[in-house]
Amino acid sequence: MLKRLFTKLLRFVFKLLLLLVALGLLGWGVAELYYRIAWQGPVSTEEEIPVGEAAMTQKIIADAITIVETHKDNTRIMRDAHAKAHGCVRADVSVREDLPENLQHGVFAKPGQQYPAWVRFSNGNAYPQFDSMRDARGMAIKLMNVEGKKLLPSEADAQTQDLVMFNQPLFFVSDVAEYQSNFAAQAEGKKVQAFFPSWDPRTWQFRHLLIGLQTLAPPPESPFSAQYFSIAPFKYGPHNSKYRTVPAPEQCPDYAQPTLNQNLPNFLRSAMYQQLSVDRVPACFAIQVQLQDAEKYMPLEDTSIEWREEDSPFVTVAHLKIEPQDFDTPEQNLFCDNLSFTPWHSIEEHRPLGGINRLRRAVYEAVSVYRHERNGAPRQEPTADTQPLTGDLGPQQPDTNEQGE
Amino acid sequence: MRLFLRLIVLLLVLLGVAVAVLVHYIKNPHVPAYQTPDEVIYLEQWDEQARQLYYYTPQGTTLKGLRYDWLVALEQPFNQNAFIAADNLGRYGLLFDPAQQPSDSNPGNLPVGLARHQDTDSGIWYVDITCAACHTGELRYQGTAVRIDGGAGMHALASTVPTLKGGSFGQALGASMALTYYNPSKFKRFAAKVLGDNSANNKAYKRLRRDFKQVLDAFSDTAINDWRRGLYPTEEGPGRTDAFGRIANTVFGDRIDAKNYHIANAPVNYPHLWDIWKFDWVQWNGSAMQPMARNIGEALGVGASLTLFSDSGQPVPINERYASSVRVHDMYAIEETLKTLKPPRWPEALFGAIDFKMASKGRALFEENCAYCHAPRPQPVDKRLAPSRDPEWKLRVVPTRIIGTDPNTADNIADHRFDVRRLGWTRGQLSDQDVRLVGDGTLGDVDLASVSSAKGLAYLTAYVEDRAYRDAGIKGADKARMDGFGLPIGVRELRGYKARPLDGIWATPPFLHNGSVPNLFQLLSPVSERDTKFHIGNLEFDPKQVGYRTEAFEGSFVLDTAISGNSNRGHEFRDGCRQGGVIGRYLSPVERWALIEYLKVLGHSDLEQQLTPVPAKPWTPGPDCDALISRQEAN
Repeated sequence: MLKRLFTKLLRFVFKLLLLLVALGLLGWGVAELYYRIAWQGPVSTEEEIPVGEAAMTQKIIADAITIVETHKDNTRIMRDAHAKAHGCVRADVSVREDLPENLQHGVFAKPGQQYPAWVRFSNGNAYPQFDSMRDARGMAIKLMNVEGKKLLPSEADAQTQDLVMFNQPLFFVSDVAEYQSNFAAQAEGKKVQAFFPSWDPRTWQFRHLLIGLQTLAPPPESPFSAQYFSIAPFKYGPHNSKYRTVPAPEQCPDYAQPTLNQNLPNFLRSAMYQQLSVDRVPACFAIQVQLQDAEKYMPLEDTSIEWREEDSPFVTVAHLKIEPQDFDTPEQNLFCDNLSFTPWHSIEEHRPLGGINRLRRAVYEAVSVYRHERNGAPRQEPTADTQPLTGDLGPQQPDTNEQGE
Repeated sequence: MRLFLRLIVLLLVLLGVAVAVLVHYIKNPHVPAYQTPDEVIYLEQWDEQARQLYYYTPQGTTLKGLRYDWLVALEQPFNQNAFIAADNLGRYGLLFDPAQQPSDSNPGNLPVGLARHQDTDSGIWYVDITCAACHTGELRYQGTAVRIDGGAGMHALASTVPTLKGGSFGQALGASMALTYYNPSKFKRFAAKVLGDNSANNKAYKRLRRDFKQVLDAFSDTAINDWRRGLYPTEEGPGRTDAFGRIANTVFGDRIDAKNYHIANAPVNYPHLWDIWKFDWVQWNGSAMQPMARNIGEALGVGASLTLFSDSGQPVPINERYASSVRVHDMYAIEETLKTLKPPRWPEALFGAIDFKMASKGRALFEENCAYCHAPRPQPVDKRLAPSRDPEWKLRVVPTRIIGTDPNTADNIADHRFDVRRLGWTRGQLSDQDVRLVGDGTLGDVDLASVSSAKGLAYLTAYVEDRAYRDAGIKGADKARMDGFGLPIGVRELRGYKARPLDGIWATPPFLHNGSVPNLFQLLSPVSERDTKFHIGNLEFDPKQVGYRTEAFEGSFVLDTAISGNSNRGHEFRDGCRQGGVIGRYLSPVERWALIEYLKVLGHSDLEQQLTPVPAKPWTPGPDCDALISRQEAN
């Protein structure tokens, strides 16, 4: 009797599951079909700025300031995103010797040219948490000795070019409007409303929710073993492009990462420390760009859409090498926290494009200025000569402040 | 068949539930209970005679034609108590003094601002909502009521859109009138009071019913119209009204053309009235110059009668424009009396002693951080708009792009356009008017198919004013004097808000033009520390943070700053870029407290003399930022 009932129940559950799977597959199929049809080129090669973006940007800034205030550390105001660093390391970036001519633009104009750089690795969250938590991971590169007028008027004479990335090819919102509503909901702890803002099914963002869930991923073994993407597009001389960095073990000596205790809070920092400081093995990345083919569906204004590699491949334009070094010092960590990374630390040839980048211009600066003022820290772009010895951004020897060769 | 019957029963049950809910909320509207104050104290702002004149001098408005004796005779919807009883109307934020007695100007013993005027033709006495109804405040503390004359009212008097739970004076009045009309025994009692001995006269009784119905219909027509069109999506709640939006919808929408209706989602506080006669420009956005024209425009919005078209629907010819019920003599009397109104003085006996050491530090902080915008700037005679006005204060109008407070009010006034061609105006006629357009645009640029509310109202009030003066036999120097210092009808449309001097500001919560910040402490705090939702409506004062208390209570109105028009951003003191509403450096909590202490003495020279000098730090411009500079400017 009981057995029969149980069997019946089991059968029912099984059927239900089957039905759900079938429904899911059908939905997926329909969505796939829909996007095949809807997502077709050609696309614009120019920015298309929606109305009301400035007002929305203002709201986002206010929310970001609220976030940094409410999530501050005992002694410091941190970034509103990517607050926790695994470390800032020095690196050398060299433009590929055999770079094809159509890719010789901006900082990559001269094959073989070398730049000193700072690289900051981070977790995406607004406050430090255990590295084992699901999260996005960031990599930000600051090239130095970069000549030419920079885009931000107040830092036009800085010698830096920043590349700011995280370890997903997509962003979970399309544009500034969606960013604003999503961000505001999340700032109030309303995770569901972030992707389902109203009862109107047309506002539901299933696909973006999936990207969001994908973004909050388990940690890589080491910050050096992940790929990092620009997500948003940029100028690349006459082209539009996205870029990424990928590990390039072939450029470095073999290195087998020892197993680390991933339950410790800062194991990603430990992984960097182990490789660079204890084992003294360098880490290598390739910097790659993907040019826009406007005939294909490679839009500028929607960061939730991947530019497919079938449509346009990534091509290596430079190599980045992190030599063995001691980076985990209080001075260097403070210096690292006081650096400001923004895609708008850029020359005209790499001008950031698209809504999310326009947003970043205002928000990154506002948060940076805010936290530097609150932390009583000077805010100034470093030069190749800047030393993190005192935890101060000021050049160590003011009289050696001359341009590179 | 059975199914059908069941459906009918279900429908009836649903209907019954709906009626029950409706009756419940008519009986128990969503308003705080009325607390009769132990006493009402007044803060030496002026003398008793001036106060009574201000409270009960009519300005010429009517409440859809509601007669004074009707209002006095009305009962509450479900009992026989008077509608005007303090424990009924007091719940809606109207102000009573338990010691008040009927007087010649207030025979019905009505709350502050409910006056009456007599129509010259018909001899009928109408209820007249006068200035004091909205521009008188009250703070409650430990059972005592502190009356703020010229302060900010905290009622929902202007609200026309009904809500399920009720809470506005108009809805309560409508409910009382409807139940009086449809409940025969109630109407009998009502008629007996209104008609007296005459109530047995069938003809008079029927006529009363007809007239009464007409007013009731006017109320419900407005309610249905405003609700159906969704004109006021941002609930105003106690203490606010979209003054400009409502005036424009009333004058240009109701009276001229339905396509002139605009969504009015910009509620503002009732500004306090002390010192305003010294201001070069008035209104939140500094759009109006001449006192009389400003007052007439307001009266038209509140409900003065206005004849724009003849009985046959033709525009009124130029020499007859525009008969109205506005009362220029009374308005002038009120305006003159208001010149004697002083800012309220912090009642130390009730609210606690002023800490003069803190206030002295506060003065230095005020000079550093506030004075640039808020200090009065008296103009020399040759720089004044009105040379005879002494003093005349030049006020800054700070662009919304800088001050960052809710832009709806300024934007709506700057952006909304109205088609007034039906009025039959020509530019030639308008050029004879004493209207001065200041800033961009001349009369030549005015398109009568698409005129702004400020300009349209200026020309309209010019005609109304002329006619009222003409009918009253006033001209020449008398006219100039009553206009206010001989000023023309100035119009200015700036996308910004004026920064007024802050004497007595402590008595005027909630703060910012849209009442989105409950107290001074929060106003001086970064936006992240301000309440995003708070409860208002019962007048309970918090003398520490200086403002209304914000916690929940029965019948409260929840002000949600996320709603359009309710933004609590801007006017912010915090670190970081001075942009998007950040106007000053971060103030530490102790600095905020010091500033608040100083704001209690500001404007009272005998108190300010007790302060000790503290050196003020210089104002600092803040860090250099360029992120929000548009691309063109940046390149």
